Amino acid sequence: MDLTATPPLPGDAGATAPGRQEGRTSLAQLPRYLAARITAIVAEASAHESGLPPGEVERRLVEMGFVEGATVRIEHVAGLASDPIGVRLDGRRLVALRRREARCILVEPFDGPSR
Amino acid sequence: MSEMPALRVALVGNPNSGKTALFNALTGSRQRVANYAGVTVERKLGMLRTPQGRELELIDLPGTYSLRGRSPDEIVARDVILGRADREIPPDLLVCVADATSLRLVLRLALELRRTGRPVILALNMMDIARRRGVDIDIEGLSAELGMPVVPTVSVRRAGTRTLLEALDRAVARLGTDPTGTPATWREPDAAELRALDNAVQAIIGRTVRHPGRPAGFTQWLDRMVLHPVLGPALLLAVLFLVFQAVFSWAEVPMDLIAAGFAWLQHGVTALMPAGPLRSLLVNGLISGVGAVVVFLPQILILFLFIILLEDFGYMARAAFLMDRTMGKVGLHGRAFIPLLSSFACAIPGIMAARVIENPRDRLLTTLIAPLMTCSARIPVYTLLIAAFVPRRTVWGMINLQGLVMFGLYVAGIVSAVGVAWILKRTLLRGSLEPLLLELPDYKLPGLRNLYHGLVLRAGFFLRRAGTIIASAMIVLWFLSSYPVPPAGATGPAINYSFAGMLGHVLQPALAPVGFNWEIVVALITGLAAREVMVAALGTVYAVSATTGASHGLAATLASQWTLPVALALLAWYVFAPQCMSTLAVTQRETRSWRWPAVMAGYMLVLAYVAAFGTFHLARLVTGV
Repeated sequence: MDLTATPPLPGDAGATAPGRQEGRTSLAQLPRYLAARITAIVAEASAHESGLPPGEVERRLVEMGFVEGATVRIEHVAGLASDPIGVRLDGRRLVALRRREARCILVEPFDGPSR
Repeated sequence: MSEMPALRVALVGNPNSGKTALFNALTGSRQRVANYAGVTVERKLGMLRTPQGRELELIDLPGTYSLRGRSPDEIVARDVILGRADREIPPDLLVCVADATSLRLVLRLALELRRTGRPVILALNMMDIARRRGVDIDIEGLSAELGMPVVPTVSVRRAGTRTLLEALDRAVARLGTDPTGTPATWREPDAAELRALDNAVQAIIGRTVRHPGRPAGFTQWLDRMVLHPVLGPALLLAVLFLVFQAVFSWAEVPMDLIAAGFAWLQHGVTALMPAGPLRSLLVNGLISGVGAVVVFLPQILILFLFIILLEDFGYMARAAFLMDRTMGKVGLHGRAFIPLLSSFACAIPGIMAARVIENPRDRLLTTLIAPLMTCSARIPVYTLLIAAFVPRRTVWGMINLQGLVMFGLYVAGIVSAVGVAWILKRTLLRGSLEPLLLELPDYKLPGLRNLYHGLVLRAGFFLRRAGTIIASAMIVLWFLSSYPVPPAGATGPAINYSFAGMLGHVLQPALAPVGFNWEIVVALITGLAAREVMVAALGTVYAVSATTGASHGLAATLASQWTLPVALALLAWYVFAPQCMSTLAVTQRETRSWRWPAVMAGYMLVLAYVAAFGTFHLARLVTGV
């Protein structure tokens, strides 16, 4: 139904305003080993495919620690398809997720290669 | 205060926080397991004694990240905490178990718990590992920020729970003096509130915890190999190979011992009791039937030994990561890997293990295809038929033909499981695609105590089942195959004249197109109790002793009585073997419906029939028999 646009989420004051076009790299596109900061978690465009209630993927991502300001770095990719990915979150925890969900996580790469 | 029921303490925490290890450390062997009313989530209760001599009842809730309740496990945890659970006394105290090396998620849970209105104690578990890794936690500061007592614990050491026990004493004493408590204000947070909670947690962590800023070196080093795109799957294969070798070779001696024990019991009862229906019931019904199932206890224990070890070590989450894509191709979740692997020993623990899958559809899909994994109960049947009909020959220079056929039967099971999953995902179980969001925990050495308790638990569960459901099924089958008794002067084996024999004759025309004679049909009916019982049943029908030592005699008899196409058709039938009642019973229990076991039995019956039919006629064409 609402596939045409991702509406801003209620009470999403902390997040970067959606609609900002620059810096719209998603975690799914982030090169391996490049550290980045999360700028926004957007409502999943694929919600209709997942069969989950709207906002559910976002809530699960936030619960897992994928929140604005957290740093992410792809450290592992599985198999030939490089999916799912193993993401180092805030330099400590390792969380596995599929690229499909990683698309909901917008990131801003740090300048230069990470330490 | 006079005699009152023991106060209840609930352990709450994230998965992988060492919660169960802490539970075991606190309660020792004083624990019992059951299911929650209406759902198949394990309910673990134990008793503990505080330093001041209080007896408290401890309840180990399923691991959860929040009180939102997404899986059956998480819903149980939430409902018990909030006092909404059916027939469940709400806990008086909550102990929130935290992995001290990774506080962020659990502190958010702790803040949520504070809103339930119940007193909360935060236990910083695995404190030894955190200290070794250079994590510095200001415990008093944290306690002040959270507004709850905070105590360090080390569940793998006996003295490591002392501080928690003392804190429980203090908290219980406060319960008496402060009857008002705080009101419950918890409600389900939306994404914005979750962010706000997370911000609060980050601020608290920023003020009270100093991290060395680096993840565990050993974990990172090992993960470079374990999660490597090429090495990782190779290693996984090697681990699986080792597990299978162990399940089949280590279990041999104890299984023989158990079989011998039951045989001895049969002899003993036969010698002690006068002949009659009661002796027959005990010897041929109960002892042989329950024995046929209990004989699998060693395999199940060895399998769970590995599952618990790999789980505690931190490998299982990684296996799910590695297998997710492959499993996803047929619509299975990465987590389905563990239940399906277990099903190679027996579908019952496999279906029980499917509880780890959060999404109900994914769980159902895994449950439905679990019996297509070649369980160890099929092995005696495969072995018998292969020995009787497949020549012991070497093909292509080095490959044993009998082994090749056995391998082919395993592959046939897996391939059909893939096909069935693919079809179910597009028909009955259409829809949902569950996200994978899985923490890959740091590796850690499995605790022996935890392992021991886990195994005792599994063994108890399995034996109770064998003692109830399976034993009663055995009695029914014994009756069917013993009555009516043969008329005077009868020549054939007694089973020919029984209800089972009659049923065999009645059903035989339906199975004639796949080449089965009535003897096979009777054996299939007895195989309802457990697949491998068919071997013994064939022995009975052909009046050949089918004890393990004499199975060569049975193989020779079969080789002379059956044609090759018949034997191959029976092998094809057994790839599906829809007649295992225990599997259907456990499916009924797990799904709480009659529909899904019916679906399972139905599709397996159809597949078995089609496969046997195809095999029989193809083989007849080729061999010209």
